[in-house]
Amino acid sequence: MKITLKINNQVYTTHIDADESLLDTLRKLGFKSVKKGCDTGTCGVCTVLKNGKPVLSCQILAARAEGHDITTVEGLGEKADEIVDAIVSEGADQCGYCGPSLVVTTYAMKQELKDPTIEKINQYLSGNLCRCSGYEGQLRGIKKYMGVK
Amino acid sequence: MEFQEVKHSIPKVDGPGLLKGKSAYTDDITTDTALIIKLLRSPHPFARISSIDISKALKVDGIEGIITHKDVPRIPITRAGQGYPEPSPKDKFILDEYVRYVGDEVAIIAGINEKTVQDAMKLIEVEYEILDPVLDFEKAEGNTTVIHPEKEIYSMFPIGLDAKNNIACSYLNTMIYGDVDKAIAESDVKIEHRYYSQAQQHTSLEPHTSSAYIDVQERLNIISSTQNPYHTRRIIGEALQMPLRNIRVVKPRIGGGFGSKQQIHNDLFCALVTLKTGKPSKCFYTRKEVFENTFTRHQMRFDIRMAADKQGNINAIDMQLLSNTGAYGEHALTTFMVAGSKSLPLYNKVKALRFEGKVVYTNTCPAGAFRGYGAIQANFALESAVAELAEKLKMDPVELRLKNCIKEGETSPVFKVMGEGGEGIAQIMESCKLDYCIKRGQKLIGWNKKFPSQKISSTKIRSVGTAIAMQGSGIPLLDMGAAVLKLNDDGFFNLLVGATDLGTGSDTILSQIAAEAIGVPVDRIVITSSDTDTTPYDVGAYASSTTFVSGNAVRKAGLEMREKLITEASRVLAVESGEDVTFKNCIFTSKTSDKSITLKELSAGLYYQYGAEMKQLISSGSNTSPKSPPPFMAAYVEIELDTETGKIDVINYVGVVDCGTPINPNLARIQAEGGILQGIGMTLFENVIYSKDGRLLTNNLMQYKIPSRQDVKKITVEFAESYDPAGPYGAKSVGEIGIDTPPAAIANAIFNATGIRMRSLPFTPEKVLMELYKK
Amino acid sequence: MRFEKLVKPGDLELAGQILKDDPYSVILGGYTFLRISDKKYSTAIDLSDLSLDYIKDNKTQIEIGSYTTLREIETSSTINRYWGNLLPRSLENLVGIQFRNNATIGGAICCRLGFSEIITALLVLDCELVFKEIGTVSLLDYISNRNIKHDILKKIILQKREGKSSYQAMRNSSTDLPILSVAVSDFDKISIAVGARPAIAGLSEKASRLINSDRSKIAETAELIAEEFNFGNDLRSSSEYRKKIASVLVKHALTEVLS
Repeated sequence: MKITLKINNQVYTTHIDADESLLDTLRKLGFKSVKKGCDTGTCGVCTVLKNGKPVLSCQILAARAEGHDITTVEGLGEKADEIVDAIVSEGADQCGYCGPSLVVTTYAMKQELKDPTIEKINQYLSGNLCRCSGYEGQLRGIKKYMGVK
Repeated sequence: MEFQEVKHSIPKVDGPGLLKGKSAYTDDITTDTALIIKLLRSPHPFARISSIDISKALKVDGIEGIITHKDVPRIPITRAGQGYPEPSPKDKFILDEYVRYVGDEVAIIAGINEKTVQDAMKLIEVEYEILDPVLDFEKAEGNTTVIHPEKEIYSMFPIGLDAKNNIACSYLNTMIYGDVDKAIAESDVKIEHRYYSQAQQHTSLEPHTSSAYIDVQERLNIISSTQNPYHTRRIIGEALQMPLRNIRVVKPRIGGGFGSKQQIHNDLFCALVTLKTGKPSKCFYTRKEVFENTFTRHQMRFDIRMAADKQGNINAIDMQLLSNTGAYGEHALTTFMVAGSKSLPLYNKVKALRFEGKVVYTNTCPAGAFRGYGAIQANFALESAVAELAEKLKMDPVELRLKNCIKEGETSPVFKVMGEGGEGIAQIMESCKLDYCIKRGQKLIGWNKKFPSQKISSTKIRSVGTAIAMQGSGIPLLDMGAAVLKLNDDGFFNLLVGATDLGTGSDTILSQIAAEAIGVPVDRIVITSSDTDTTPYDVGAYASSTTFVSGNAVRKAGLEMREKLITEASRVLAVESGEDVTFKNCIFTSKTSDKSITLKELSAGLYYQYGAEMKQLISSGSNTSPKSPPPFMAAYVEIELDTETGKIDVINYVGVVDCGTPINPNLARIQAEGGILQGIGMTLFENVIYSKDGRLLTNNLMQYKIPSRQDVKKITVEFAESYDPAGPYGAKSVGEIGIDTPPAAIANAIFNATGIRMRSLPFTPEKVLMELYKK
Repeated sequence: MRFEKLVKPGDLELAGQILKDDPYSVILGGYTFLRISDKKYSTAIDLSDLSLDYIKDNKTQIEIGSYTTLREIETSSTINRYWGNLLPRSLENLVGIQFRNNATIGGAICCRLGFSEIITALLVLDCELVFKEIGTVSLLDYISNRNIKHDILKKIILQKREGKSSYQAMRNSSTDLPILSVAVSDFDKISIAVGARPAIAGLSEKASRLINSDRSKIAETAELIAEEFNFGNDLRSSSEYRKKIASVLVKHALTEVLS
């Protein structure tokens, strides 16, 4: 079937299978920042923003993404820089596979969390798994970005 | 010591690009039109394929090829991805008529997309002669079921392979120092216990991926998430009987490895399909395949006897080991030997020592390399046993360790006797700050106030526990790494290394080492790594080798480049000898004449202006070392234990690490922190459960829980000031040491909270609570 | 799961017709747990165009549209005004925010999964489900009667009640599914629900009767819970452990509610 998607403020028209996930469609369209990590909606590496809120693109049917604003890290552009700097300055990017999804989730968190604390940050990001860093370094960087001591 | 480039925390060279989502991993950079490969896998833990009919499946529109055991060369290989001759038994065929665990490959199916391949897979008709499996590793030896009845399998040198008894390797009567039985008998205090550790899964977030294409020179190109491109090339050549000159293996960015990508995984399937069809192909494992069909940590059982005199001098250690290698023997012998060689030297003052045991086959997921590599399993047993001994001696376990642990300038008989697969090499600890680490960690956790425990409410107890650990830095005189440096106009350098960055940051720290050695800022270094065509040989990323082994190669290449630069600059500045020339801030200056030239000018001159003296400056370095200086760590954990539920919360995990000079302190810290959390995962959460009929049930991330960021309150890592003269700028390894201690430290904390001794990993709330009830 | 066709009906009648006509059709919720199944369907029915995503505060009740996401419920100030943190606590450990931004309350209820924590929590509220064909059914009836299916859930209705409530769950890692979940409410009387046994949540009768007859009998009620329900084995726990934990969690929940 043919669908029209709005990704990073640009319109894309493409043909998909009815049961195709947004994850697969995004990767086919060249948004390789969106990764595949599990088959159960558990790891978080396919996270994108749907109307500004983090969602798992593996669980969104591409056909159901029509009419919504989809944002990947490519679409954050310079808005990602501060988050990226916060993480790499701690060396907490490591293998990077969970990185783009962590950046977009952190971006959404900044918009959503009114008075962030360490606990709230860890809870907000708990669906973003990382097997390399042990999370401490990511927290050190993200705390700075969120203005939490 | 003062350094300009190393011992500085710079961001990873690929960090910003990766976080902003640049195409970088195997699946990102390979063509979307590649044939998709999936595997038909065995539903049975042990069976013989009596017939297989692919005719219906071949008719599915879009199917380009189906390969079964009848179509592949029958050459026994090992997928271990180690040095050569390989220490693992050659017990695997690409495809075989026998399937030896649930998920063992039956057929390779290639088609234009995933759905087509899945549809075709359902049409393949296989008849199995179902055989009795061996699922319990304690019943494997001498079982009536023989898992490897085929006659072709062999080992390249004696490893005790005894396939008819399901023994992949054995190690007996070799690591014997003194008379253990006598030393134990004569000791005042003795303990004897059995410990079990489970088959942890690596769970790197990028599933194992490989792809293949034929290039314009008609050579097979493999792009793969591998930790060791050179071994991969060698094994593909061996398995497919191809000259290595016709194979190129490239590792792009990979999304974590932790050892699981040391083994060959789907590379051979891609190679076969592309060779057969001439078309590019790709195989991206599902998470279920990663769990069921890659590799796990070796499940192990330890029987330990330990004895000391009344003053707490440890006299003897006897460690008997049974290890489960699953259906195939990758890393069977070497993880086994590391269990001894990277744990026993911690207590080097013993009068007697014995280490022996066997590694058995079972019809379960094959085990392979995994960060810690035998050492974490042994550390659990040994460091639990030391705590049990301290308890019996009525001695503070910190004091017992300080009294008996290895110190700077000392050695252990183990080093000479045990290597990886064969004899080891004697070495003296030229850097060992373990005693400092123990004392510093003791302070950081507040041991003297908190040991053994405090009741904080009617149902909650807080307690502390400790363990110490060691690892190695590469495998002495087996691991070799090399580097090439090339000067470009504009005064920057290409650094070419075979070393393999799995996300650890080795590209970055090797760049820092190169910059330090040449004497230029690190932004003048552009690194290219892990390509068998364009980068020099390196064993790959395993055995904590890259910083130490490859780092020294880079340092040699850098020093040689510096010399060459000064020679050229001396000529241009028309001074007699290089000794007259200084090189600082990218400027060569003659001390005597005050003349100077910039690196940029010199590099342009060498390319374009110096006439007969125009040349390409290239330097290289290779490195192998007779030493493998161990990094050390002392760990202290504070837990909160809920006596109503058995749940354990880690409040703080302190690791004080002696890894020599941390080349990039931030990256070293993350290695330690990440290792610690992976170890805590193995200790508390990562349960491995099989069904009665041999299927892995914990086969996805919903059932196999790795820690999330809410699961551990705090991890505190500090480094000891340490410098190892053998390492590049004093560095030792740091990749594995972090993972080793959590099982024992937490077991010891549980004991200190409750008096309950947990001897079987993982420590789920249920196990803890049931033990509390028994008490 | 796989399917051939995705339809987005513009009104409820049409959606109902498609569901009736095609025995191999399925209604999509958030497509979270449903997606993981191995099943093959012909038609997937997407109700996104039916305006079923809302939380309405009526005088005596709260209405939640079946397409409301779990995250919307978790963060809704309207809902939290009436039942404190009962519902958020039953949701906040489910995988991650990304998951809950997508999972819907309709899907969570209609899948009737044993480990569902939100069902445990809703059971101790006055919760009714409004379906297109069969009309209004209590949540307890719906989860106890497996024959009710192939209908479209429009909304759930929660009666506003004065009183306290508590949610307790046992899990090993923080984003894992629960080993056991317990919800207790005290409006005019005390209700106790126990879920993830691993069978789907149930409402206590015996133990509730005891605590309602004598509010000081927390310990006895907690013990009785272990006898009242059946507990099973699964990957997360043995029945024996669940039994012990049930008493512990019920004790904590009752203590919280009755303090």
